[in-house]
Amino acid sequence: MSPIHYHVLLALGDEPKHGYAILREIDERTESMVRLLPGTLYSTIKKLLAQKLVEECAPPRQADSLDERRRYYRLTELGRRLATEETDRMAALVRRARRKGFAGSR
Amino acid sequence: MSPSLRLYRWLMRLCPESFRARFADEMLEDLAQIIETTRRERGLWAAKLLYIRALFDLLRTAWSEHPVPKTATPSPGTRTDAMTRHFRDAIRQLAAKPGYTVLVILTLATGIGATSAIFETVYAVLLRPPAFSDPEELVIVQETDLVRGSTGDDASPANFADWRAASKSFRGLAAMAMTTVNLTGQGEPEQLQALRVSATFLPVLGIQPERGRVFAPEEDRPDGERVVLLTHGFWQRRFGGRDSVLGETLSLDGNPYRVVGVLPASLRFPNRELDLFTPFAMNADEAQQRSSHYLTVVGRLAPGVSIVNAQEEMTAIAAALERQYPDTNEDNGVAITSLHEHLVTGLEQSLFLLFGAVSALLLLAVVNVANLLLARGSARLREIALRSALGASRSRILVQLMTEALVLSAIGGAAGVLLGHGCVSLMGTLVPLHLERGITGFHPATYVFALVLTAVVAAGIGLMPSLSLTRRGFTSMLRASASSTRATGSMNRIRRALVVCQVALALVLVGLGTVTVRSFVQLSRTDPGFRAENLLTMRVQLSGTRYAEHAARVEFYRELEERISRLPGVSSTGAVSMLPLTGGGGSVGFDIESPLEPPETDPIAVFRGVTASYFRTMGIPLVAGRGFDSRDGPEAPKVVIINRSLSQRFFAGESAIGHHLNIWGERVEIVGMVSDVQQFSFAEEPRPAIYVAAPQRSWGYFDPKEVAIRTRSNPEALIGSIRAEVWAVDPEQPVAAIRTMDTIVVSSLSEDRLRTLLLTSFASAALLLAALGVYGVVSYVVSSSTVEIGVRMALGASGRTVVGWVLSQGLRPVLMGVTIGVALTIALARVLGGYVAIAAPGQPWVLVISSGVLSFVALAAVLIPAIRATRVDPLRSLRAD
Repeated sequence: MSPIHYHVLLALGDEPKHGYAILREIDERTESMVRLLPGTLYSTIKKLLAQKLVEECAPPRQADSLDERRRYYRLTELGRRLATEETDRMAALVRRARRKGFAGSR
Repeated sequence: MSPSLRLYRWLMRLCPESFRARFADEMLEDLAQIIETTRRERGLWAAKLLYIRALFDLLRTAWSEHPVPKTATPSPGTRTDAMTRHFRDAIRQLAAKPGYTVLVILTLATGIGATSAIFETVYAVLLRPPAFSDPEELVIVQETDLVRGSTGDDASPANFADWRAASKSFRGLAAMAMTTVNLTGQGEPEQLQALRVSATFLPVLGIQPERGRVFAPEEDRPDGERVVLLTHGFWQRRFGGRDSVLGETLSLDGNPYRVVGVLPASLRFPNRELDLFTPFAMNADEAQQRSSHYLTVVGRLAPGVSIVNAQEEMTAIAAALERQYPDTNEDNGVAITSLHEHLVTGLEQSLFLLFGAVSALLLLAVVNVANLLLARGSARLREIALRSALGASRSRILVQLMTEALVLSAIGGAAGVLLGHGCVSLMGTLVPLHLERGITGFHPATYVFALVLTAVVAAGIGLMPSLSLTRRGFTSMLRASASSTRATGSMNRIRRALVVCQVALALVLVGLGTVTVRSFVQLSRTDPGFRAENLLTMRVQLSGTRYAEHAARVEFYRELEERISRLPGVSSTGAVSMLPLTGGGGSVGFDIESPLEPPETDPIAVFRGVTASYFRTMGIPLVAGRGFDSRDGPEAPKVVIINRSLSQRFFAGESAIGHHLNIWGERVEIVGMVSDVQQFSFAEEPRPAIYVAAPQRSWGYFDPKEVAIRTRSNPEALIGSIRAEVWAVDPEQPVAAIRTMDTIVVSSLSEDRLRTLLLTSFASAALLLAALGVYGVVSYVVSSSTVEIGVRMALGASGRTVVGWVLSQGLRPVLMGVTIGVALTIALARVLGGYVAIAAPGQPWVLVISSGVLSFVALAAVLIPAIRATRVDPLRSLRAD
């Protein structure tokens, strides 16, 4: 799974979001190390939709009227499972890397 | 939607239809929002950067969203398939070499952008007809002096009335005159730019008000109701575009005027800074004046009447008036010019010069790109040879190369239009105020121009390399590409010829640039005749019944000067009818009592009414005699001060002090002489000037209205307290045009500065392009001759010999280019000689400097590959073969 796909799935992990909220989430979570732009984001969403990893959903009730017009996306079961597997894979990878002495000085 | 978002939306068309239909709205909305957030959180530049990244992101997305054909050799399909394939191949080829592609696109964008921006200016100023209905029928009718040969004087009211009564050539004649009025009774008093017009003015121009109505004929009579039309800008600025202003009454110069309408925003004639229009409503005295000339007369020709017909009729009318009123109309003729021609007189030269220069630059850019393509083309010989060996027809390869050129110039053209669009507002400086339009963006005609230009550029950069590459037999190509030695003789010849062109063109541009810079430096070093630093100026024009008496005006300025001079930080204050370098100001004819010898021409001098402390305040040195002082009151004998030019012209260097002049029937004595001041511009020779002491009598238009204040430190800090002093003398008195003298000096040079800036940037760009061209060719010669160099060095040639050989290879086309360039420049100077003031690049010193600069730069460009050539390892180069 490409890092960008993973980031988008991660962004949708806790609640459904619209595109802009996904961009913000990724930006904040990575402290602007990863800054997605609309082209890449929707190209990614298109692929994730096609792979049935995310799906469109109704706006959450607390959304204000401006946000209501937007399309919301949420993880599918498949998407959540895949993201979890990916996380485990990466965690294992990190553990192995640490053992080989790649640990950063924290 | 902002233009940047619109561009983004437009570029989305590159994405497949299905993708767009699904995501376009969301993408746009998100983009707008992240840009806004970024702007708020990290500032404007971060937001701009982000936008540019988003554009690239979009292009990348568009590229990746298009399905890539599965097979490398697509099945032969329709013609459109083939075209798409060509385009996709071309884009792949270009994307594979991003550095080269960006260089080419930037070169083309600069050329196309600059040319389009200048074209827009030329088009807006010279080619586009004025924005009136049937503009070709509109003419300007002016008085002329048949003896002095002057053309284009304003008309007097009585002559205008007679013209209107007697002529049949016009559907309508209208008059206008600029004036200023003071608006009071509504917040801060304000001085307004007003146009007095005859009731026929708007109908003749064919203008409908945006709100309300035009003037009725009875309102143009002295007993008619006082009415006013607001310009759109003034209506917006002062009344916030409120409709209820119609019918309201404004107090102008103390008189009530009823607002009857608002003019359309599109009306910018006769200038862009007017606030309101009022009818003339001349009283009998004014209407009968035949000797004061201040009306600009506009006419609309009757159907079927040409300017020549109208001219014949008006000449006859003028002759009849001359017989009838010999005192005032002796030698008076009439001249009719089309309105358009009248507006653009004097602008063609400098604009066409710029257009010529920028076209030369574009040509240079095209040559450079053609050269680059050619260089790359020869690097691709093997590929082309292979393709043709595999059965690709010559035309197919030609189309492929042309497609690449087309893609390059299309992107370059699009980028150029964006670039030009960004720069075009800069050109507004070149459009004088009296033209009824500013430049805000590109007119559709400019887009068409840019499009045509792009097509021509594509043909230019594509055809030459394509033909020269495919003309060669394919076998020889294969052979040539197999061994990289002496690959391509004919191609080299073409490239050298291109370098010769580049150097020649660059020399012409560098010559032009040199002359412009020199004349600009000279201009800005010219002594204005006064000290501009720490000098604040403002217009305090008195009007209305309160100041109808001359004594009241004198008293106002006396008290104002006294109050301002008492302010801390102010060292002196003076007033004048018109400050230097602010345009206009008026002249007067005079007679010399018992002259040493009768003057050859009727003496005319710049005329200024001043208060006693004006010269001291401005720092204009007194050269002889005395200045004005408290002696020179209304009862005392009338005195004047002249400038040095007048003394030299009419008194042949003898002392003029004590001589008498006659001005407007008044006998005046010359009591002093001051040094010359650049009254109108830095470029012109100082003219004779006469200064009169304002307190002695009223000189009408020449009474002081501009105040100059000399301060000890930053004058702008005093603006508030000075304005307060004006309002302490009269709370209803507007203060206008507050600026420092430094600002006036800088803005009087702004047009020259912009022209210099443009021409020097063209020259520098040309120099750079020429250097790149030379460098490219020589590098190529060196790299394709490594074997030859290797052999020479193996046979004992020293590094110096090798450098010499490369230099001779590289500098030969340069010298040829310089020679042709010098000849071109001289020819150009001949053609333009005396026509354009700055077109003196044919002078020897210019030729020497520009060929020197060019040769130096070219030498540097040749030396780099020459030195690289000495590092050739003979063994390795021989082995490589």
